[in-house]
Amino acid sequence: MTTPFLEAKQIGVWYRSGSQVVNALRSVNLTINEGDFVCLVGPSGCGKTTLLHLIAGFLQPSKGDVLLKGRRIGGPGSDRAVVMQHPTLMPWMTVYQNVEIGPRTRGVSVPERRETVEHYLKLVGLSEFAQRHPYELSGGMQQRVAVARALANDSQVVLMDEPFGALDALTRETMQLELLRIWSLTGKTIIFVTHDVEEAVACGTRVIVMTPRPGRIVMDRPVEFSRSLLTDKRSMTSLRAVKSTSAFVAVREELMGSILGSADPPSPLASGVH
Amino acid sequence: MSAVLPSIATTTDDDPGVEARMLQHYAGSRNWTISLASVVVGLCIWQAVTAFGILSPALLPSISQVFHAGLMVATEGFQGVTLLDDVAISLLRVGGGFLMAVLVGVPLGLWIGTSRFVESVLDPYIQFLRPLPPLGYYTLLIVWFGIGDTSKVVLLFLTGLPIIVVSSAAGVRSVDRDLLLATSSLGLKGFKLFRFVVFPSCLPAILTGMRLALGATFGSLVAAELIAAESGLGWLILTASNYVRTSIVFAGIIVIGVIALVLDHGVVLIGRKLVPWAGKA
Ligand SMILES: Nc1ncnc2c1ncn2[C@@H]1O[C@H](COP(=O)(O)OP(=O)(O)OP(=O)(O)O)[C@@H](O)[C@H]1O
Ligand SMILES: [Mg+2]
Repeated sequence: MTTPFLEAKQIGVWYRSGSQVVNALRSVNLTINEGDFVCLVGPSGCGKTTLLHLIAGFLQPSKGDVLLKGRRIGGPGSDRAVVMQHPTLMPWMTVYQNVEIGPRTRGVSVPERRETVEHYLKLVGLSEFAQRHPYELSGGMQQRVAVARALANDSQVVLMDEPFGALDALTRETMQLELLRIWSLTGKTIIFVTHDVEEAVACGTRVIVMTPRPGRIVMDRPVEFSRSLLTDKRSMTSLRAVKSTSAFVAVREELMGSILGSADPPSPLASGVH
Repeated sequence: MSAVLPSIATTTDDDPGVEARMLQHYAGSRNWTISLASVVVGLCIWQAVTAFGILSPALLPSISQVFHAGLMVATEGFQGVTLLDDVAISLLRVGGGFLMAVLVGVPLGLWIGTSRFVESVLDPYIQFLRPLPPLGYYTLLIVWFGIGDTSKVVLLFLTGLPIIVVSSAAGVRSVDRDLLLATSSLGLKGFKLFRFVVFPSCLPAILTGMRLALGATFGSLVAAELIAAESGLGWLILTASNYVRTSIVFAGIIVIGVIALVLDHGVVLIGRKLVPWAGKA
């Protein structure tokens, strides 16, 4: 039996805030294969960020273990680049320098890292803004810089917390396609938190649905639309087309149903008829 | 601190709305024309009070008397020391003490901010020194280091040190946690994390500390020179008042005020150069 790439076993997380204790995650079990594109969806406060931070090594579980290639995750590392829920750029650096920081830290040569930075800035559509500072950019643009920074880092795993939440529909779909392209070219493992079920179904190879209080996984479903999106040349139109196929809509509704169903416990009126 | 505030409300609309005007009130720069007019009016009142002989020149000399006294001290000197010498010696003392306070205080503050252990060890001393009026221990420094420049430089060092230490340490503690986490996931750690993330994050706080410390050291110096010195701006004022040369006292005070303003503004300008992102991120 081979050890799984990434494994969360019987995870429990309790936060202490003042005198109160919040159970953010309870008995979470999860196995992720190398090269997976895992989308985490669920209502606000269900523990998506908490789970992501566990894998990033920002947080240690109160119970259970998170293992990467069989070894416990003890802290953050450059093999797991993170895009936080809010853009966390270095305001004293230009956009270019921000994206450059990972390769620069690893000691990549100047010409080579210039190529990398320019490549990823182009992907997120911000080449013209390379010499600007983050405070001269909109929130959505800043988040795209953070995405470029994480991707430029050559990490095996990329953890993204609602990276496209602040973008308009058009930019968002462009970014989804670019991310899919990078994913398929590099074979990175991507774990992607989103509020948008449609985004999850379109991009992921797996969609994981979580519910709050306490946070746990209620559904883990393979999806297969991302591969077909990549083979199509006219990707932008095909994304719209795929999203309106009956197969896509069926999966989306199934996932929506599981989110809504678990969020609203049956009311006493409906269940207490007889 | 108004000088380091960003000018958020730079709308070019002909009629900015009520909200925009309120923003301008808080974030915009003050109206320089009004400030200048205010100064001119103040000088006119001064001129009027002296011209009508309401107060004797020993209490309030006229503007021209003060001007001539200043010119006299600048060219001929007072008690064998010219104004330029006084300014130079005072600035050297401030410069020495302040520079030492920065060189020791910034690393010490960063260290305290990074390590709970170091903080626990040093905090009692810093907290004791910080509210202690420097002149309270100046006599002790004179006993230890003599009445010359050494005791003054040490006094200024001790005046500036706790201010810079406290603000540098506060800078470390206010580093954005999420930024630290995100950058550590990109492989930054140890010295590189400090150099690229922690230290730049602290710069605004360090500069604020330096600005406060410079003001405090300059104040301490003039006071120390008033107590015990053979030269310097404080000495000039004290000696002139002993001889009831009020116009020289006035000239000296004005010079002190102008130097303090220039020094303060210098730190603000350096700050703007070094941390253009302050308040915008
Ligand atoms: N530092 C903390 N201290 C105390 N409680 C916390 C902390 N962080 C998160 N929580 C709690 O843990 C639960 C899960 O939070 P988490 O941030 O993981 O949710 P999320 O699914 O990412 O939500 P959102 O979609 O709004 O970002 C919430 O109930 C929250 O109140
Ligand atoms: Mg979250």
